[in-house]
Amino acid sequence: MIEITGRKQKITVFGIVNTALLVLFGIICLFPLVYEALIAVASKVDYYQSNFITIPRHFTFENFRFIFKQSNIGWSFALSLFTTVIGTVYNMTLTIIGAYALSREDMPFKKVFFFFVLFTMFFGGGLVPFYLVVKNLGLLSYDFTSVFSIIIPFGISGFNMIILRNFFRAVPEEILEACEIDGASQLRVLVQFIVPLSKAGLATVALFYAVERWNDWYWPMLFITNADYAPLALALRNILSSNTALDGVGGVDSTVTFAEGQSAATILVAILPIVCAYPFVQKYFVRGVMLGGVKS
Amino acid sequence: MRTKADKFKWLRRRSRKYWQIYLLLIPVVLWFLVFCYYPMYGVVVAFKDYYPKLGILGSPWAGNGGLEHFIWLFKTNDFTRALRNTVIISLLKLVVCFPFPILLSLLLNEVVHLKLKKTIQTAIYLPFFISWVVISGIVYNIFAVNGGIINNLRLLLGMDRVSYLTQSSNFYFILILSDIWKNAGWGTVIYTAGISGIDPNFYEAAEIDGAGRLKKMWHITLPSLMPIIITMFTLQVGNILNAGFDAVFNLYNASVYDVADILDTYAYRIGIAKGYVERGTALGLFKAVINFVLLLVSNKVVKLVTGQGLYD
Repeated sequence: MIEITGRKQKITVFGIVNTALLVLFGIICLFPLVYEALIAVASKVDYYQSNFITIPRHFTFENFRFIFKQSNIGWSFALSLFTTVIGTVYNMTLTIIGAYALSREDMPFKKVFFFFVLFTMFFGGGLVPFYLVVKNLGLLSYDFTSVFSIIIPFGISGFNMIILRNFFRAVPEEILEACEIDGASQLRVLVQFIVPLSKAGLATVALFYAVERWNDWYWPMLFITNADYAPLALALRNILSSNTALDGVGGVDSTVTFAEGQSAATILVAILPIVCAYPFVQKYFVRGVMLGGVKS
Repeated sequence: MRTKADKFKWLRRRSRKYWQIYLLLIPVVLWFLVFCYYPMYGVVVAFKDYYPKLGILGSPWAGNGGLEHFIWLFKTNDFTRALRNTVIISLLKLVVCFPFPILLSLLLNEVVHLKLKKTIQTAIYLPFFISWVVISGIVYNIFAVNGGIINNLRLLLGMDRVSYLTQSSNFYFILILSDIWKNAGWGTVIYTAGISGIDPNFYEAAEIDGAGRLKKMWHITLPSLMPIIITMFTLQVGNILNAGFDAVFNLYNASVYDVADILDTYAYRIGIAKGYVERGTALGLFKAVINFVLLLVSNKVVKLVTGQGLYD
């Protein structure tokens, strides 16, 4: 508040120590990513001769070339994009409908639906019965359709639905009443008024879904048995857990590339979209937490 | 007063108004039924000897009045170990990780330079969006025996190399450290939101009384945050059986099972990896029931403290 009123603060010891601590923590948060970048572009010699932080004296892209040649990372990347985009659209469609129903106070059976949703947030059948359902639906095939096993069963997060409901509720009641007096159907109210007026909320929830999908490795690990259809996060996990430097792969210099460098390169590829998009979308996430989380 | 007939009429009119929404809700409800409620019915498997061909209903009941698999479970040391580790990890997080975001947001609030504050926030929120697979990869690189920065540092300081990731004694340290790295910064969002809602008059009054920044932090900011802190704390206590599958699963290996194996990872190994469907389901059900009760209780406590349920 003091900042806003524009009164000058004196520079104090407390202020300096405080800022220093926070900057230090900020650096700690970013350092591991920089560290990985340094390893990823280093050559084998740089890495094994380093006695503190790896300095890429013999700068090289050999580690990247290796992972793109050896492990189909490019294909996995495309596959992740596909599941993220299609999956998020699917998530949003279902979530928007549910959130709208929850936001309408005068809709009969709204309370029933609310508890129907809420109960799933408190209780679940657990891993194995869920797995059996997906299996019995025939989603666990060996071909490309298995990709839908990580899309269809993950339609709605009750938490996201409630965040979105809170955004929908923020649309002024007068607008809706005016629509209803004009005889607009509920579908029109939703599509032509609620959705365009809640863009920030939709962006927030879509981003929550998208990040979750992009980072998902667990369900792909369970459901996608054919390694050819592994999305990026799972492919990364497979590379990290095998963690063997392979020699003699066509055209890759095995005296330059090394296991740690390869995993670092894969890590960079995996976080690239997130790190690139993050500065622009950060504010939506923050707003989402404020609205969906605890109200003080 | 409205009569029953009136109420019925009202209901019909309202329902007619919403018919399109009801129609659209069908796939939503179906999704919940298939992927949330049907698995709840699937927990019956825990009391049966499950034969996929016979289906859930057709499979015979398990021995000992259907409790066979639970008895097996409660007798194994692996289960008690997993339960113990789960509680230990959750408590460690509650004691060590929980206060971090509160402290950070208090410090952040004292940064006067707005641009600097924004920059710091951008930096400390970022790790939250990085998956545990990636984090485990980073952890493996940082703690690598050969060439990892930590072991390089140890060598520089004249100490021996340590294989951090295969030693039980270091597992909690690494787990908690990476948890703080990932979540502490993002955790400040909720407290920062709370701080921004504090009435500036409080601070002005305190200034007139001659309170310094530390005093204001201690006597105004922190007490104002108390409802949020209590809420978050209660929620985390309610989640005590969720020690964080993703983190543990990506960071552990067979040599640290004794301290790292939690209920979720154990359920995965017996239920999916080893294929003991009934035992896995029984373990899942055990966890779900206790979790349910804990969540209900914590929700009640939150309601008492803040006068509002979490989701109303």
